[in-house]
Amino acid sequence: MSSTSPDETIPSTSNEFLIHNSLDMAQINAHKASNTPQNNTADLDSHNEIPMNLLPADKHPYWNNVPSGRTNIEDAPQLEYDEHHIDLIADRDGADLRQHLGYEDHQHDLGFSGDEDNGGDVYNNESLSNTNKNRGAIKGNITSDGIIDDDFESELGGHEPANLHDTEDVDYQLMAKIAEYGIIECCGDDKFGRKTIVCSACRLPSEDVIKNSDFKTIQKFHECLLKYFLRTFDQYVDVDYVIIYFHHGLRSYNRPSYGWLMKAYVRIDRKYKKNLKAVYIVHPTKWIKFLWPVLRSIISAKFSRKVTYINRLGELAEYIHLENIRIPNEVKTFDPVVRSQLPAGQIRPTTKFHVSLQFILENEPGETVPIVIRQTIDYIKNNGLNEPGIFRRAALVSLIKQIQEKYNEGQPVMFEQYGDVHLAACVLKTFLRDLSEPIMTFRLYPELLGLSALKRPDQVDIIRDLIIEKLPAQNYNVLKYLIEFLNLVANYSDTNLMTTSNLSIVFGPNLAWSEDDQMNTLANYSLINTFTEILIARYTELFLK
Amino acid sequence: MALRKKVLLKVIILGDSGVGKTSLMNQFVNRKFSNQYKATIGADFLTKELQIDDRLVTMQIWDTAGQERFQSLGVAFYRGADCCVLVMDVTSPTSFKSLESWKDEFLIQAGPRDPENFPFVVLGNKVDLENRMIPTRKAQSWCQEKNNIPYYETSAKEGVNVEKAFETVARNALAREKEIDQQADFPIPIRIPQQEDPPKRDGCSC
Repeated sequence: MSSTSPDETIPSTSNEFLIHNSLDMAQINAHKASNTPQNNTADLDSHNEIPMNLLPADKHPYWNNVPSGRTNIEDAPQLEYDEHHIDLIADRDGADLRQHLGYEDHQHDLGFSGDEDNGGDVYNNESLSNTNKNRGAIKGNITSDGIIDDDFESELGGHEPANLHDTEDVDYQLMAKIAEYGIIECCGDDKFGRKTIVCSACRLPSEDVIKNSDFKTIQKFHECLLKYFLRTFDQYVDVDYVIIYFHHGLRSYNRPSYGWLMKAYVRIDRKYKKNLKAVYIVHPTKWIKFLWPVLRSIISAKFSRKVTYINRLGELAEYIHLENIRIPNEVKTFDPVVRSQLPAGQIRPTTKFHVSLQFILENEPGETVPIVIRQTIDYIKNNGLNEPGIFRRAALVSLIKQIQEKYNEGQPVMFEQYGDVHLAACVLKTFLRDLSEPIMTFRLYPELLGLSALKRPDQVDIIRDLIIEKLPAQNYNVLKYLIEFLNLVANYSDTNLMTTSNLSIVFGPNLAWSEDDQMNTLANYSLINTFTEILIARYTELFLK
Repeated sequence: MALRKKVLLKVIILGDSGVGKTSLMNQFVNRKFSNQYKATIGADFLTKELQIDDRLVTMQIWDTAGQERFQSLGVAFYRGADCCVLVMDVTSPTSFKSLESWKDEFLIQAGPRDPENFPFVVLGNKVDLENRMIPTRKAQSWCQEKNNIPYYETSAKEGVNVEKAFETVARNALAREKEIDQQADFPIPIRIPQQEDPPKRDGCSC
């Protein structure tokens, strides 16, 4: 406490920071109205602090360059570079790096904006060799955080000459073998008429297979693989092209070493990057996301922005004619697991979680409300109406999972034996959240957003029409049952502290969400909460008239 | 020593719903406690400047919602954090048991450099309440196991230990920054042997 006295710790209200900031903060401020005076300081760092879902889709910050932490306040961003800040950060990082490496400023654009479209021609002819040297040196820097600790330095030693295009390549026959694996395939045009190259991680052979094949060693295989890659790409890189990468199936026994990846990246010349218009990473895992901060340090921001995550094959259909590409069967069968859907084999008639409401009710003949909802609500009605923070407080995740399994297996669940009302409350929230489609349906989601934004006297009438006319009858019955109960909970808010507003915050996101994850923004959560609060507070008018 | 550059530290507060994350932040930044019971939507941040030795530090403190549904938003908030504050409620064994998963979640989502030594601070909040369930010893031994995470028992309501805890947060974040500075932000460049110019097959230069 020695040096921190109350006088020195003033919340900052200075406006001087605002001049550095041209990014539109309106969205973030919309949900932050409560603490306006403090926002200004934060703005100085806004270019790397905007929550992802507040950004428009084309600035999805997974792929934007975010520096690893603190920002010196005195380092005012140079706005003339780019008003959106995104390139700016990359440039600044690059500048630091170049300074560190002792590069002259005039090499600036050569080294770091190699795959930039504009101004490319100038450097293209005269300075290409120079560019590549610099880029190679710069992009090689990745070990700072120690996550990649493979010794690729020696592998990068580059003792082999670049004879990639030698027509008398002795490996020619081996290359034909590589082709048989189908790891990369060219598959016609995408919806924008660009050539499409498909890479499938699941088709990479395992080490054992390689050792028993003509390649004998993994090194040989990977060497040929890289050559084959470059050859294949050579046929396409003169025109615009896109890459689809199916990540599913990359396992420890077939994963190429980091060293090889680095080598590949260094080998990939500007000509391959220039016309690459998009990379679609299908079924990205946490591993990719975990590795991303590392990759980001070697891949330029401009390249990063070409990358799109695809969580479901269906999303890919937006960009690609799916019938044109050969999706590996392994990927096809994996797909339904992603998101909350179980693969067909694992669904039993008794399954209650991660399936559709329709499915559940079909398997509970004679019921209009699923058993999980009925049982949890009954238990809370009897034991938890006066419990402070009911539906807000958490329960043990291990117990929630245990109960989910019991339900899925069709076993009886006795909440009495656990003696925790929060557990029943969490199971109810989990149930709603795990439905393959929310109670309010995907189709109505845009309407709910529009509706909540309106402040009209006839709002209740509009909502009533909406849920009666447009919500499927099954969903309506369940919603009515649920909201009637939440209205009851709110009546006890003197003791349980859960007002309609609090209940809407914890329940809103479990009742309605968008299929498109980028739509699930904080701003939209707020709109859904408003809608939910009206449902709970005006239950009588909405459902009983 | 002359006053050096101002520094911005990003701090993330995590923990189960209702343990007092928002209250701790408000107590630290505004010296206020509200009895109002209100769940947080998504995430929110406040900033506060403080003097740590010769450095003027701006802390940007991110308060997050404990609700499960918001956790998918996590990654955007966690990234670039300099310190992570894990909060539990000493009257709630569940919130204590959750510390582990919040810590893991943070490390996976934020992907910091050197995750082993990333600065965490654990706060056992609500010590003003009488129905305490987690003894100090139990919390301390958990923290010791986790590479000696500093542990403070706080009361956001009465302002107990809050200032001190956040000062430790700032100090540890600064210390880490210094370490990284000393290691240099960028590793030694890997030398790529340059290929012979012009290539052998090129006969024109003979």
